Amino acid sequence: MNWEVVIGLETHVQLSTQSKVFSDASIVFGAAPNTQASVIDMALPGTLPVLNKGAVERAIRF
Amino acid sequence: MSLTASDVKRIAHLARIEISEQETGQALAQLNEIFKLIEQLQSVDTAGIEPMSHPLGGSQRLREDVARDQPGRESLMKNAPAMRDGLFIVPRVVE
Amino acid sequence: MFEKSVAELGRALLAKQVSAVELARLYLDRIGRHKELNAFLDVRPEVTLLQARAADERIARGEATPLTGVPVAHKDIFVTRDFASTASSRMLKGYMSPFDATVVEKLGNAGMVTLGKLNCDEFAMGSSNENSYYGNVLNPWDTSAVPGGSSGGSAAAVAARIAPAATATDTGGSIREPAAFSGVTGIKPTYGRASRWGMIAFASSLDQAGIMTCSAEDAALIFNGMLGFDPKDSTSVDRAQEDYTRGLTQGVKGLRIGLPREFFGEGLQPDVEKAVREALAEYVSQGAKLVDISLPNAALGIPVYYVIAPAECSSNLSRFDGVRYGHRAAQYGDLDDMIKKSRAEGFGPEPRRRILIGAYVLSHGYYDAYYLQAQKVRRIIADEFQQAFGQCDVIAGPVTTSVAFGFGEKAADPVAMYLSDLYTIPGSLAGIPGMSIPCGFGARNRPVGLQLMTNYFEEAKLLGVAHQYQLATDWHKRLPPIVSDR
Repeated sequence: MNWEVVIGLETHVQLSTQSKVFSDASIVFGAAPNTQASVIDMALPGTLPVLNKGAVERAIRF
Repeated sequence: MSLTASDVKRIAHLARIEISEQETGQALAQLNEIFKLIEQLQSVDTAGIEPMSHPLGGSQRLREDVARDQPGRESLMKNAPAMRDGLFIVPRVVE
Repeated sequence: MFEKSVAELGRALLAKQVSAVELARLYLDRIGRHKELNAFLDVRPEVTLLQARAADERIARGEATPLTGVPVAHKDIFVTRDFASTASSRMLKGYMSPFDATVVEKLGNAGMVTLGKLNCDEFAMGSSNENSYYGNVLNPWDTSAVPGGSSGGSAAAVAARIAPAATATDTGGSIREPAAFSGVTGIKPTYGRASRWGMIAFASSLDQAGIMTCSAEDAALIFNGMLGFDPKDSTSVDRAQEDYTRGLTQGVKGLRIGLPREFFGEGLQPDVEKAVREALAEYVSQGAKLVDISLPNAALGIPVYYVIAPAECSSNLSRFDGVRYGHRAAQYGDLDDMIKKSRAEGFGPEPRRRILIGAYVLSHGYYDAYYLQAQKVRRIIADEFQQAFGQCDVIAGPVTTSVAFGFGEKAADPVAMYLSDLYTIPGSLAGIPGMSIPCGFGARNRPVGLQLMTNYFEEAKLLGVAHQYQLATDWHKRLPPIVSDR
């Protein structure tokens, strides 16, 4: 029996933005838990996101 | 569209709201009344009509990709029901 | 002093006839003497007096605005740093926000002094203020009647003159209906004019902040301080700054007032119709013209609203899970159980009902039939307003089918309660500005409101039309009996 190998690659790519997709909080690697959260990331009452333009631009480029 | 008790239980699960057997019965009756109200929409001819998601037809406004300072963990977590070392405490999720 | 309008108070402060601290003390005292109305949820005199002292200093420096030192109270849907923010729910009991809502911040920057947070229907869901976890608000005109909702506390506070002005929110009529029931002036601006940042979200494509006060002139002054573009609100409109008082003195000669025949049909009580038609006669005596118009699908507004609003609220309220803030159940098993119990305990019956409806109409298999269909009918209704504005300058009619009802009369039947919003919902769906101004009294001496609506961004004209009526009549100056006594 001959088998044909089919390999799929699911690639997750972090977009190289300065801030998060839904808030203007920074995204520096290695920071302590919850220190780079904004009121929006915490979903505090009264907050709603505004979409990151840089994220949209990078996603379009792909 | 008439709901059944199992519909109510399913939606309550989707909405993550606990509902007792007794409450299910009462909710069923009230929800069915409300759905009778909503049924009127089914007979409206909307062929060719664009759905309206926003009153003034605006498009999504975008935010410049700039990181800004935040209020800080303490201020953001001050209303936490259970907190330790800057983490929210909840029942164990992974066994 | 408490019978003075915001405009008069501003002038008295500038002329140093009264200080901000004296005014703050006067209103705090009045709040204390009318506790039975249950309009206020959180009052902190030391915070208020601190703001009042700062306002006095600003006046002394010559840096005052027409609003500096004038007291205001905020509906408990707006988050505030210095007062608890509960959305009148058990879910947020004692919650202290780390930031102020933009509307609160802007009025604070103009120098207004916060008296406290006002009771409302839980999460802004209701038409009678019978859905608050913290108890009913009473109508100052008749304490056996509801003040209206969801902004019942705002309406009652202004009606009883325990606050000269109160912020409020309107999603399907929650400013206009309580303003009508409680005999005060209430206005909802064009969707997008007032920032929703810091406003606890109910239905995001409908929610708008507005104001309740004693006159159109006062509302215009407060709009000058309160409205404006906010980048933190993704649907905030970016338009040039404008002066909302600029249309006040415009007479109504030749003004075409459109009367939707659907708003004067079956269901409208005779006492309400009488007061509304007398108000329209006053406009005619000033030279306005009445035009018969039609909003054929206005009645579909209710089913449309009760699909869209619950759908959007089921999303907005999904953040309340007892993890990061808010009510957490005392006993629970795993995480799923904790969330389910916290939400079941934290939310009252109306939010639970609407979340379930919303989850259903958005669920797999039903989205197209319900939510999408509702959005299409929404466009039909909005387009009909545009057609109507081709024949008139302003649309007028009743705000409600009846005067304020008694406690418990509609509470047991959600659908009967929902039908209270018949005349206000269409304007909300379209996103146009709308007002209610007092125009008389109906059955049992309970107030009647006249509804006025203009097209998008015409608030200055709307306020002017209201102001002209208030120059010729004095309904808006009447005091409820309980207030004349104390």
